[in-house]
Amino acid sequence: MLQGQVILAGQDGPLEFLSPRVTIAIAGGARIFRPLEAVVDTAFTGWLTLPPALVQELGLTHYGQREALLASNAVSEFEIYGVLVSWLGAVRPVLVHQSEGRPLIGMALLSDCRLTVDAWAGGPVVIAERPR
Amino acid sequence: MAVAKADIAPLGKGMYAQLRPQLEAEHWGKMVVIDVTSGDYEIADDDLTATLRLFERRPAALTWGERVGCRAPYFMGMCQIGPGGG
Repeated sequence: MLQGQVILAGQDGPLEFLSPRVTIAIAGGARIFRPLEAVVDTAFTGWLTLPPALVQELGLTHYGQREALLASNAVSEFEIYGVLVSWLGAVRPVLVHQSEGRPLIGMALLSDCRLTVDAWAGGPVVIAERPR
Repeated sequence: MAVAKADIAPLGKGMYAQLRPQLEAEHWGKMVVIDVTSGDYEIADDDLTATLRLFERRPAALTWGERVGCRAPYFMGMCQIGPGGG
């Protein structure tokens, strides 16, 4: 089980919003794991997004490019990399969309998991294995 | 064949266009991942499976991926305009 928290984000700007966050561990080919705080984004159908600086720091393998349809109905191209994620007790390889901004965890990584979010500031975010 | 980053998308789209009639007839909704350096490709239910399988065979691959029958293989923000929009 993985537990995080809903953060009241943007408190230094004009817009405050609730942001569900969890911390996972990721590694490149050297298999040196480091913690990563990411936003749980159920509207992203991939596994994980990472910013370019972190992709470079981890020395991730470049796999190519993929398109994604954005909420604006525009299609955008993303560089795709491979990364290792420590996820619910197992290490698994996943695909990364390189993207600016805070890392996102998408539905492909959440597949076969139970996600519960208490959507208030400080509310728990829990990701657990699917009940058998 | 060495391929620059800027050429991955045009090459991938061109290769996919050639495969498209056959793929749409037989593999609707599947993920196809094409190595643009060789033209070799893999088909699977998901991108990760197809990509890792292709890299086992082609460790130096540079890939382009399409979801057969969809505008794009991924959604970011779940656009819901028109068929296949999420």
